[in-house]
Amino acid sequence: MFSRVKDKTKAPPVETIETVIGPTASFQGTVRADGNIRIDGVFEGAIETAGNLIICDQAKILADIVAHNVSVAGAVKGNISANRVEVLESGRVWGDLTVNSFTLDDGGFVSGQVNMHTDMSPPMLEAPSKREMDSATEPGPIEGEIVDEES
Amino acid sequence: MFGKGKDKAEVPPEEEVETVIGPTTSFRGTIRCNSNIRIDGIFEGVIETSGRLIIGDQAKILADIVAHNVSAADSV
Repeated sequence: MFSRVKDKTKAPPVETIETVIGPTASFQGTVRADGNIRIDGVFEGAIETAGNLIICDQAKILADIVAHNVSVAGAVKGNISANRVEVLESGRVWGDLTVNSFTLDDGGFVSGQVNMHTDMSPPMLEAPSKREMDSATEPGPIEGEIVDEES
Repeated sequence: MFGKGKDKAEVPPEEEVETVIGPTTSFRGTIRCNSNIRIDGIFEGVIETSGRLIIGDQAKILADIVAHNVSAADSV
């Protein structure tokens, strides 16, 4: 009745995947594409696509990635910028993510920062006065406290 | 039934294309592969495969190619 989004992304129809890098292939360089890309092999370099990127569980990727949606079941070392990133059970990511939405399945691994495309100020202990709100560049009191604790 | 297992290991069958570079894709760099490659897009660099290389008629390739078989429908 209600089709799950997760199942859809795991097994997309083969016709819509325009570029496939097979399990025995090893690539070094830059890929730019408008369509969907699926990687089963080893890739080193940079990936840019306007479509979706599917990283299968055997894949090893050392690359910065810019894509619309990214599904990670393999290993990725590099920064990912995308509308949506999902890290599946077998997925491992070392790098920073810049996303609009992000999901991490049980067993998935992410080491890095997760940033959103839209910035939002964190909650503050005291309601900001009107003057503080105008000068939005100044860090809030909560951020200052956290830094002190770590140092 | 299809007793050609030995051949398969050395030269993968024609219809099994493992790696595909699609028509809107442009690639710059090196590919090394043990199976068939089909290229429909733009490729610049080095291609090395122990299988077949199929170059589609829309493809534009500036590359040194080492492959078992090459079938080209367009300029290399």
